[in-house]
Amino acid sequence: MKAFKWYLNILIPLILSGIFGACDPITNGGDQVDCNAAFDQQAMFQNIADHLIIPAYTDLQKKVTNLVEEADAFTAKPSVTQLEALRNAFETAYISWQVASPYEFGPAEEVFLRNSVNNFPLDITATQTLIDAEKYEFDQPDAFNKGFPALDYLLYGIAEDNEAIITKFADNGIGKRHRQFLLALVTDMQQRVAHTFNGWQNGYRETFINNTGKGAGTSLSLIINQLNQNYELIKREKIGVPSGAMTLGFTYPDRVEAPYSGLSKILAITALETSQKLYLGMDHNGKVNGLGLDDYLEAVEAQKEGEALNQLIQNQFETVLNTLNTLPNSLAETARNETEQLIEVYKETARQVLFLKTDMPAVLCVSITYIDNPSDSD
Amino acid sequence: MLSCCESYISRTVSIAPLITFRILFGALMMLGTIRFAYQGWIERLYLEPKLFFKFYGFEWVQMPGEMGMYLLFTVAAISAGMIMLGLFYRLATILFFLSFTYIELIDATNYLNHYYLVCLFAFLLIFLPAHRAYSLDTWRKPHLVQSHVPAWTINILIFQLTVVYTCAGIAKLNPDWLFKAMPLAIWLPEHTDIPILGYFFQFKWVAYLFSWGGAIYDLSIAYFLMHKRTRLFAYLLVILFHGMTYLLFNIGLFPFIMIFSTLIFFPASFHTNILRYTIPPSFHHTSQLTLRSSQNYLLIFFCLLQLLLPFRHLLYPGNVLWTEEGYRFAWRVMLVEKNGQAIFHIKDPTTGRSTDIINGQYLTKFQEKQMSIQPDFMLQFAHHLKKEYQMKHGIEQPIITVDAHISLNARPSKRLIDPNINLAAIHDSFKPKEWILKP
Repeated sequence: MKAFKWYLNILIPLILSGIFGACDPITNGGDQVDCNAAFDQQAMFQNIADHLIIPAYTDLQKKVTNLVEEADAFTAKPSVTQLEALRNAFETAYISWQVASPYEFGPAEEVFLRNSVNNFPLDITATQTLIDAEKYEFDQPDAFNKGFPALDYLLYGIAEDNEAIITKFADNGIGKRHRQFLLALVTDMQQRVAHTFNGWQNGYRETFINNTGKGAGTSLSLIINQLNQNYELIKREKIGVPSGAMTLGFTYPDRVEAPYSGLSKILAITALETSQKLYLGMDHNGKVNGLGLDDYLEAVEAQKEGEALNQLIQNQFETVLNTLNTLPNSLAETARNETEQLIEVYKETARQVLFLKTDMPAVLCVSITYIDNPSDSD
Repeated sequence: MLSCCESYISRTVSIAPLITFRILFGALMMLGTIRFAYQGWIERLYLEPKLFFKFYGFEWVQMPGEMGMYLLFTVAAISAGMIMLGLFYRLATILFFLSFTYIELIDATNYLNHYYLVCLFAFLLIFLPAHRAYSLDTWRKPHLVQSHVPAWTINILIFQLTVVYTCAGIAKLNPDWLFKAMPLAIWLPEHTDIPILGYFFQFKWVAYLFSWGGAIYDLSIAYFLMHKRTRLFAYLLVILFHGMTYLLFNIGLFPFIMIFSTLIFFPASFHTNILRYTIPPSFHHTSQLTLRSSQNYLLIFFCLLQLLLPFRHLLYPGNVLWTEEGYRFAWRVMLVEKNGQAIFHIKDPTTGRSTDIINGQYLTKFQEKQMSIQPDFMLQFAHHLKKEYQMKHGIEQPIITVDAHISLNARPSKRLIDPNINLAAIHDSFKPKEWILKP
């Protein structure tokens, strides 16, 4: 028993010091919640699938099909009337995309939907290279030469006025290349959207609803991760970059989303409202408010510094949307002339990130898995 | 030496436990190094990042470039193989220790307690005569063969393992672990898909059972391994415990390191039995090494350091789980689930222009995640930004502040760093970081 005594003589003081060392209480933010409190995940997933995701893809599918039809008509006989019709189809499809943008998992992830249809700002040189080479491949997720941003350029920015734009599509030299590129572009977008839509129709809905739990790859983790990734894109690309908030106040008005058509503001508002509705579990028309992340936070009774976390998040969505709505002009104009106002929108948008990306996953015990761990841990 | 310690230090004992340890350690390290390269981690962890976080005092360690990295890993793998074979043993142990430690020092982002343990074992092996039997060295030079060694050569390894387990156990004696079952109450329910066992992980009491079980295991397992009557049972627990952690957590080689190295607690007879069946015995004659006084002092210094280093957090105010001052090199394993967000702001005091930093422009996602929860990394990052903005933007004295919030063990987040402090004007030291806010 000699070794035992020796061991105890050392161990007991060590244990005592350990206890005292760790005694300083941590009360940060509020107490732990029971993140495993009862909540019907399946019912929430079902609501999100049936009232948000599938309607969003159904609408997008319709709008993109219409886009292909109008592109067909325009390329068959380029005219101002056809150009206007095509632009209308483009605008409604682009807005529809904002509603479908947060769901980059499952079928959408398989075809890199988000990167394929909305990498912006457009790299005009790279786009022009594709056109000149008559290469109509859009398989590089990291390339910025395709999707809605390329359409925005082709239909609004490729020449000074409508007549000049039509000329770009008219003749059998350059015009033909532009027509072919336009058709190839919208067809590629349509195929990817169709793949996603069909995926949800043919089994992924059930996979999604039944994929309960908290670990990486569960539907809860997918929703929260993608809500955040999408939200960060809104914060950084749609608002932050043009405002100059990340470039010492030097603004970049031409880096807004859809700079040529001037749709940036409505696109940003739609994207933010989509984030808000995904959080609330509310359908696009605001008619159904089913189970959402708000209800989940209420179920675990998440509090932050004395306030309900859910309330903080809801208030912040309202604040962000209000400041964005009060902007007098397009985001590009605002960046040029009322920079301070745009920076204010950026700051409000950024405030929400802490709630959505750090607090919500923490109190629901879901890890942010898009930072995949390239290592062991201990 | 004090007489009471005689039996632990200079008594002659069989070399057999040391041989098993050497062979298994060398083999495991060789496999581990190859696995690391095979997983593509050399690229992802060392070639992709543009900047690296440093351990205090080791800022001079540089990433040696692509060729250099592959060379370092090749040296580590080959020297580990040589340790296993007992070939040019002294050279091999020195090379392995240096290459492995250098790799670990390049980027503190990748710090893991078990890498630290490997460094310590490698360091100790340099001084241990673990090649004096069953080795290519003794085949080359039969006069090296030795069947007995002084007891300290084995007891130092037992001591090291006891320190690891005991400190890991003491670190678990904190309110979150014991009374909230945190962070296991977060982690276990993520594994409900494991057959049979997974079913139980949904229950809170299972998290408590695992928390208390883990703490008691860590605090007592070394003692049960020391005792003859309990040893076999304790070793089964070792296999069960580490097998379970292997199943549940992404902890790489650590379970195997512990399962293999705890064999050192078994008596010589056990080891000679294993060895006899695998390799023909080469015990020719008995000789013994005596401890030189320089080694004597080194040994004492090493042991003291191992006993004191894990408790240095007591010198700092606040909770170590929150401040992370004194967190590393102290066997704090799997204690916290932390996530955070750190947004850096830079202001030019002369023009008044300011900017937010996109961390991803400088850091990999993994580095960003680690930086967001560790104050000393934030300071290093701020100093990197300072240099960057001085050079690229001509801002002489940028004011760098950070909005850093972290969430600890499923609590809502709270601010970690004083948002008004200019990190560019602060230099790291061993002194308490007063700009870390109270939790």
